[in-house]
Amino acid sequence: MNHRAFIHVSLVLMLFGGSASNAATKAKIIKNRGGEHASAAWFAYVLSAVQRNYFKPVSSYDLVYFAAQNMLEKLDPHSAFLPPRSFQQMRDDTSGEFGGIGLVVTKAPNKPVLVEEPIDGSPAARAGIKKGDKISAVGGKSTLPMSLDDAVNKMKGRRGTPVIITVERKGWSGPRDFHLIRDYIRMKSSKYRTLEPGYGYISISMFTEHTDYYVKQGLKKLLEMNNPLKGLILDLRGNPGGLLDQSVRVAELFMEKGKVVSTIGRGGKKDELFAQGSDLVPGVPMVVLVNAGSASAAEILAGALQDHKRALIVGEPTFGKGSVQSIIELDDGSGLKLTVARYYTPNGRSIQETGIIPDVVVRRPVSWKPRGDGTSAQIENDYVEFVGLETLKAWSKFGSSIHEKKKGEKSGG
Amino acid sequence: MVNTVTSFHLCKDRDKVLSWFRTLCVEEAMPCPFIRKALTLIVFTSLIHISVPCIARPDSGNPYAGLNLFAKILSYVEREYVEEVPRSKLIRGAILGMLQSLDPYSAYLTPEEVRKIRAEAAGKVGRTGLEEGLAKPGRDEPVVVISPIEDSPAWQKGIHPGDRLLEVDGKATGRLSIHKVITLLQGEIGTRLVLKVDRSIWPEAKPIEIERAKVVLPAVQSTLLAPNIAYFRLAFFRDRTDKELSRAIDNLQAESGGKLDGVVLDLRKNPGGLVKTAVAVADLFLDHGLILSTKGRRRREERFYAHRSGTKDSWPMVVLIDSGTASAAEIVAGTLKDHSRALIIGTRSFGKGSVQEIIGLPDGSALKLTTKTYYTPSHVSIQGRGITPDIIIAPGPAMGTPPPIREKDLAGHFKHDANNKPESAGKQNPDNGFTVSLMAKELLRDQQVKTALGYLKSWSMFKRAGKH
Repeated sequence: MNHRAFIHVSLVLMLFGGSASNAATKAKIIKNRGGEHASAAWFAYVLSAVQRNYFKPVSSYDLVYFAAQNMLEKLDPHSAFLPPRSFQQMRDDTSGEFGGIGLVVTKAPNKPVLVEEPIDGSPAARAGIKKGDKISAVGGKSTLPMSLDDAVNKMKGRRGTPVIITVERKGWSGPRDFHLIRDYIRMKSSKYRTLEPGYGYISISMFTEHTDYYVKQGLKKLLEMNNPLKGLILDLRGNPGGLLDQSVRVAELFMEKGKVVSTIGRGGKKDELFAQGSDLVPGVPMVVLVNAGSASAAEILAGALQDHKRALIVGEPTFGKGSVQSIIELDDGSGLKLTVARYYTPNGRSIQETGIIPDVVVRRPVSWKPRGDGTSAQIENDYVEFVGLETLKAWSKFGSSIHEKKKGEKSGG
Repeated sequence: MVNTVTSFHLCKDRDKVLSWFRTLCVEEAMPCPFIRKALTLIVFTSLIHISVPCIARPDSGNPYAGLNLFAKILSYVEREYVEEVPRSKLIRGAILGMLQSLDPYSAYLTPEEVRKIRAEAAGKVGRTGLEEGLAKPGRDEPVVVISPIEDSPAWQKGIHPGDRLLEVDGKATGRLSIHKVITLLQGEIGTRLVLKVDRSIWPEAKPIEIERAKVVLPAVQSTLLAPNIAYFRLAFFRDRTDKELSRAIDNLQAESGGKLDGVVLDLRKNPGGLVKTAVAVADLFLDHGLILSTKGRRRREERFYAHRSGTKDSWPMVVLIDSGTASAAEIVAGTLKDHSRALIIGTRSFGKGSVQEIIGLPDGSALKLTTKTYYTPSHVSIQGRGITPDIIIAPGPAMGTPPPIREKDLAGHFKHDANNKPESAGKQNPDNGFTVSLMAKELLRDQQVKTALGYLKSWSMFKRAGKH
């Protein structure tokens, strides 16, 4: 019995980096750090007490998951422990890439899944699924009682695996089954369009792994379609952020070399991130649209373009998340999202809590009615976009050489 | 908290535990606290059997694999987090999270909370009367009142079973454990607190101010509902409740000339209490057979049986239950139902089939941990299901007009003088000389009680008719 007890003790000590042969020293160190509650061994002790006495077996992993969730939640609103399933979900979200059939869908309770858009080149698009199609079943199971998440999770899966979806379309005599093979799906995180001849629009929904690529493609297309490009709207409204690195990669498409953001981490450790490329649309007046849903990486981009006087910021004050999280994957497939730094705009502003204050603060007035004066249909419906576009037009009308001047300043400074 | 059902351990292996623990992290041996709490009667023990590793289901061969993961997480947070966080804060957060996510009744009690429980046991704590009858429907949902204790400050302010306590003194209860809510409810006698209470029929939640007071809790109330038909209400199961009930039965039996025709045992809104008391109460009505079995991980199945000695007469019996009948009260109702000893009337009971124990830790803190589930003799777990009555009667006022209050109901009225009557009909008329108490009168306004009385009366009538 005593022998077994000893094994038990030394095992715990080893786990926490202590030397089993020098238990007394270890105990003292722990105590000096603030009493018995400050030790991981104390946690191990309580965990084993729970395991031994709880009315049914409970795995140490489950207990540690519960523990870690609460421990991380208490730190700040952005730190979190993610059990394997949630962690995988988050990785899909940030990579913008996952195994699936390639549909953007919506769903109302007790209604079939509705296709908003098939993603170009995806298995679903190749099979001929169209916008407006209704998916009444996935793998033979009715989607009506499912939540949107459940239905989406049923369609997602490893690349190369088959899935059957039952599709209803107007004009068909009945539902049809489609046998699809899942593939890697890349969510386009950026879209573009021409608003009016000479005026381009690019939106970024989130900063995922390939966002810079999509923005660059969009810019090139806009330059081809509009010669000359007289103004550009970059829409970051509702963009919750994403990868920090991507906000820098996108910023450098619109900036000459310069600082985009600096981060200050543990113990004042400072990191500065610089744009390395060169402005793809030099001299083109630019408006960035933001709202309260623009957060994190979106705020970094808006802040950098504002500080470098490269763009006029139009919209509402942004969310105000001035911290950077690191994602740490653990052996068992779970992960940590841990706040590791605060960040500052090139001028040294912290946007924590205050957010980015737009140069032109705009809220759509309740009374605002779209004007039918020849502007495109989409923009008629959106006051903020309308203000952005009008601002760009005014800018080019004044014919100011703001960009030229700024260039001068920069080379002089 | 639905009243904790606790059982007893003694400190075994205490020295081994302490030496093990001391090796790990503390140098001072903590005294093993051995405290009895009057109401929920909790026994603190030091950790039991710690020196015998008995992990039933190892995780892939290594029960500490999870700990390894935890050590990694902790070290990342300590090294990388944007600012330095005291390790004690991290560990405490981890322990709280571990306990509160297990089930709604398990919790970590800080040394301060343990001290509060002790003060309460000494009768120095002001209470609202809600503390023993709270439930938490889900992890982030506000606590719900199961039953306020009669005449307590909360009861006087009209708080009902089913009310949701959204806030206690401005603190939202959704994020708090039941234990934390209880510590917020209690305080010094005479101090005030404000509850934000939501009731389904209210358009919006209302603030209700309550002054904490010493809440005295009578466990047993009794009266005769009709001649030879006795009514007993158990408010909860504490240490001597079985003996109080036994005495109350004897008293009413004597009052009825030594013979009862029926008994109503009212367990409605009874949030539970001690398992051993529940077993003893059931034993009053059963002379043999299984009363209860409990199943835990540490101890094998435990079984409790009824005994012949002390068993009361076998009158027809009705047990009343409702959604506030929980835990130990469900044991009594379930056992009497399984043995067909009583007819169960009312609505489905709460469904708490688990037992919590308080496990004292060497630093003065404690774990309140669900250690067992219990089963009625038909081996049905009550957990989540509750006891379904034989006859379902919704709560509500009784049909028909309540009996009018007459001279004989008034306190200190002149007693009926049998000598003035020309004929004595006492033996033929069982109602002769019977006085309905005000308590009985109030009870008979209730449909469930009235139904119970009806069944018992018709039972004895049919029995009499059968003799002809």
